[in-house]
Formats: sequence, structure tokens, C-alpha cells
Amino acid sequence: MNPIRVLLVDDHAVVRAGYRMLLEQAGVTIVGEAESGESACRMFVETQPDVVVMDLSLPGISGIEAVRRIVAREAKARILVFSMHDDPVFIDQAINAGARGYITKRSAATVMLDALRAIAAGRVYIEPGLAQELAFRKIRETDNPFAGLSTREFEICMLLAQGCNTTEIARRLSISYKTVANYSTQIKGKLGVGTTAELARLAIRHNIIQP
Amino acid sequence: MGLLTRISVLIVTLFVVVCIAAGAYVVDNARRAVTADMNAKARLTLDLLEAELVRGGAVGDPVRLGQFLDRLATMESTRHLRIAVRAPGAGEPLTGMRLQAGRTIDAPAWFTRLVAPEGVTARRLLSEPGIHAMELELLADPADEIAEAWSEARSVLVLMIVFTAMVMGLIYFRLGRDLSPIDSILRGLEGIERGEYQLRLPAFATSELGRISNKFNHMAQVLMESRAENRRLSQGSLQIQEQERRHIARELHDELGQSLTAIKAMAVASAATPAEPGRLRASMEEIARIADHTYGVARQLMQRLRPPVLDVLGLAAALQDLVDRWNSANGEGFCRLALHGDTGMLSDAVRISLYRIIQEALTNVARHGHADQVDVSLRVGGAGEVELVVADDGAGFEQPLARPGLGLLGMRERVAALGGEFALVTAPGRGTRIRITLPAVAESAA
Repeated sequence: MNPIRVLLVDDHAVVRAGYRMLLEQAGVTIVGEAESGESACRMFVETQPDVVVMDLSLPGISGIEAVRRIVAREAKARILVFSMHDDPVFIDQAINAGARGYITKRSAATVMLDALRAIAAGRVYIEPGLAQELAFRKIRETDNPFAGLSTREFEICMLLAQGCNTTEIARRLSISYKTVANYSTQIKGKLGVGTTAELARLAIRHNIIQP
Repeated sequence: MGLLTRISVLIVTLFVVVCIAAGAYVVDNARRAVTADMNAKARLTLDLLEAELVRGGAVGDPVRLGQFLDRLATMESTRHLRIAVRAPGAGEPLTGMRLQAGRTIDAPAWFTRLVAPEGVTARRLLSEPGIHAMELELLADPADEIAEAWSEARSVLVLMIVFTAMVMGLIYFRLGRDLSPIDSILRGLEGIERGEYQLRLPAFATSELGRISNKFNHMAQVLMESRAENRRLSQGSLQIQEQERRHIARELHDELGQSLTAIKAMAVASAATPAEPGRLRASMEEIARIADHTYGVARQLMQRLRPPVLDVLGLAAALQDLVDRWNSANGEGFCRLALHGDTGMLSDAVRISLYRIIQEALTNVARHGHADQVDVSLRVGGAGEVELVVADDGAGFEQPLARPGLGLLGMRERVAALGGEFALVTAPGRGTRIRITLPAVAESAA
């Protein structure tokens, strides 16, 4: 199998050096390094890598914006976002921008290799332990009503669609009953449904949950 | 030129003009009087002479006429007359009296020049039946008349000058007194320049100056209060800054410091003792666990200092995140967020300000509001103009607040720094509504 050709984008030279060593040891070819969003876009065109490993916290245009630009230029671009943040909001936004994968800098080195292999092979990869379902909603369909929900709303929506009642959701997410009830109303309003049953049907139809 | 000097000059000029006009009138009058006097005297004299000459039969007899005239000349009262007798039409007089040398007139030369009539010459034709006609010619000296006119005029002029001087003196004195408070006002303003806002002016008698002193006192009061408020705000700001720093320092010491110490201890211990796979693995796993915990603490600190979502994902995502976190943390109230327009075009300064303002507003609602519902609406126009409304149905509060909290003041300051407008509407039991507008292409503060 041909070695995977990777473009590394991170504004910390130490991080780049560390991962370069790690990846080259595992047989990955580093075709280029960039330390800003703009140079990432430029180098993507120059080096045509198989996968781009992109940090989110970059100077100049943000990592998210760089992902958008690269994907806009080349729809088949495969980008693995690699960031300090593990908040679902970040994963959500990264996938929304067109990334194919998300791992945190905290995760073990092997996770990066797994991710690279999966993405190079055309699959998507979210670090185990992070909110899988949330990210996938963006991948399933580009034009779905669930895209207008915030990360938190989607989280609650999923649980509602899966059949959890308000009390259970409140317990699971460690928030108050009233808050869940309010979100529930707001979500139904945004989706244009009247009851939880309708919500569930909509979710199934858009492949958000399995029937 | 000072006010006093200007007014005095004006009055002096006025009076001088009046004096001159009056003087001219007086002089003109004097001249007329002198002339009339002279004419009357001449006529009278001629009448008397005629009567005397005719009675004495001197008419037609030059010798007797000459004797008569000589006798006349010795008289004191005729000293200032010159009488000549001539044949009608003739150039040379037949006989006559000389006019005495002009005497010094008891009046100033200028007055004399102005008042003296042109030589008063009176003629009378004497004719008797059977005798040659004779002509009497009379030339008089107006010295007495002029002196008399002068003494009259002098009294009037002196009176006028004295009066003028008195009035001017009075006005100068009075005006000077009335305008003296101006010095105190100037001193007061100099004090304000130096920052002595506690100065106050007394109430002045003059109503205009009294109003000025009232306004001055009010202005000084406002400056004093404003400075005190500024100080309070600065001190409050500094205090909060110190509190934050103390918190961060404590977290760094308690959590990070300890964790790193533990990791180091474990690593050193493992390196020192001979490799025992079980123990080694346990130590490594412990180190990994501590590293995870440290990471969590670091993340919390980061969030507290500057939410990463804002810098990495932009304002829209950050606000959504803020609202969702707030909702999760506040079981009581629920916040709804509505975003319109492109938040991406906003400058960095505007973004962070909007984030902090909304953060502060939501904090206030949680702390005081007891609200059921909060609505946050952010609208960005085509040219970057911003409208933000945060409205809640909570308890509201009394307005205006005697001492607005630092949070509210901070909000106002941020908005002012961006050249925007801040409006707060609230009443007890009626909830609170904050409305902020920022102009297009907002000037960013440093």
C-alpha cells in the first residue's frame, strides 16, 4: 500500500516536529508543513496531499475557515481536524465546514494513525469517546432541518427521538427539568413539528437515528 | 479693553459731545446778545447826540461841533466810542473823536474771537432846514458786552463740567462694584482648572452674576461626583482584576502545580527503581490520569479567561454556546437566541465586546432577575451596523440606580468606546430590556 501523503498544519513548530517523527515512524509521508490557514490553502494546491491534518487554533484565518476554503476548492479533500478542544461544539462546526474527521491532541498517537487510515480510505473518523452522533448528522445529509439546531439542541433532540422522556434527559445531561422542557418546545418549533412522535419520524426520515 | 473702561469711554464721549453742543449754543447765544446790545447802545447814543447837537445848534457849525465832540471825548463813558462827522457821502470826516486803544477784554481770547461782532458802525443823518446836512458816524467797542457774555457762559460751562464729572465718577464707582464678582468667578474657574472641584461661589447681588455663580456651583458639583464615580469604577475594575488573578494563581498552584509535582515524583521514582512491569504500568497509568485531570483544569481556566469558541469558531457559534451553557446552568430561566445578518464581518473589538455584554447581561439575569424567559436578539446590518436587544420578564429594578453595578457601567463603557448607544428600560415587576446599537464600521477601541 502506498504511504499516505499528509500535509501537517499547526502553528506550533514543536507539535509539528513531534507528530512528524511519530507519523514518519509509522510509514506516513509528510509532504508539507504549514503554520497558518492561508499557507495551508496554498500548500494544499501545491502538494496535493491525501489527507490534511489541520489544527483549529491558527493565526490569521481560523482553522475552520481554512477547512471551508479547501473543501470549496476541492470537494473531495480529506481533512482531519486535530485540536485541543473536545467540546461537541467544535466537532460540530468542523464537520459542518467539511472535515472528515476529528481527534483531540490529548488522544494517544495511535488514534491519529487510525484516523489517517480511515480517512485516506474514504471513511469518516471521530475520536472514540467524543460525541459521534452529533457529528454525523452533518455528514448524512447536507440539507436537513436538523442543521439549524445548536449542538445542545441536537443533543436533546436525539434523546427525544430515541424515546427518552424529559426527566430522563434532564438526569442524563445534568440539567433541570424546566430547561429540558423549554428546549423541547424550542426544538419542535425550529423543526416545525407538533409532537415528539413527529420529531422522531422526522429524525428517522433524515437518518439521524435508526428506526 | 475691559468692560469698565469701555463703558466709561462711551459715557465720556457722550458727555463731551453734549458739552460741545451746549457750549456752541451758549457761544452763539452770547454773540447774538452782544450784537443786539451793541446795536441798541449805538442807536441810543446817536439819538442822544442828535438831540444834543440840534438843541445846541451845533449842526452846520463845524467849530461848535468840534468843541462839543472834544468835550464828549473827555467823558469816561465815551472812551470806547469813536464819533465822526462828515458831509454825506464824503470820505474824509470833518471832525471826530479817536477811539481809545483797544483794551484787554475780561474774557478768554477764544471766546472773544467767537463772540465778537464785526465792527458795529452806526450812521445818522442830521439835517435841519437851512443848514448843510451832516452825517454822524459811530463806531463802538464791544468789550463790556463780551465780558458780560463771558461771565454768563462761564457759569453754565462750569456747571456742566462739574455735573459730567460727578455722573462719570458715580457710574465708574458703581459699575466697578457691580463687576467685582467677576474676579471671584475667574478665581473659581482657575480652581476648577486645577481640579479643586470642591470650590463654590457665593450668591451675588447682581442677578446675572448670581445666575452664573449658581451654574458654576452646579458644574463643580457634577465634576466632583463624576470624578468620584470614575474613581469608584477604576477601583472596582482593579479589584475584579486582582480577584481574577488571585483565582487563577490559586488554581495554578493548587491544581496544576500539585499535579505536575505528582507527575514528576512518579516519573522520577519509576526511572530510579528497576523495571517492574506491573508497577511501571500502574505508575504510567496514574501519570496519564493526572495529566488528564490537569488538562481539564487548564481548560476551565482558559474558558474563564477567554472562551476559545469565540476565537476559533466565531461570534455566532460562541453566542450559541454561551446561551446553551447558561440554559444548562440555570434551571429557572430559559434563554432564546436569535441571530440575523452576518456576524463574520464584525471587527474583533466588536465581537469580544458583544460577547462580554451578553455574558454580563445573562449573569445579571441569573443573579437578580428571577426571570422565566430571556430573549437575546442580535442583528447585523449590511454595513456592519449592529442592534442587540436583551429582554427578560424578571423582577426588574428601580431606575435610576443610586449606584449602578460595575457590570452595567462596564457595558455602557464598552458601548461608548465603540461609538454606540446604550438604552436600559426597567421598572420593578416589569422586567428589564437592554438595547444597544453600534454604528456601521464601528470604530474599534484599541
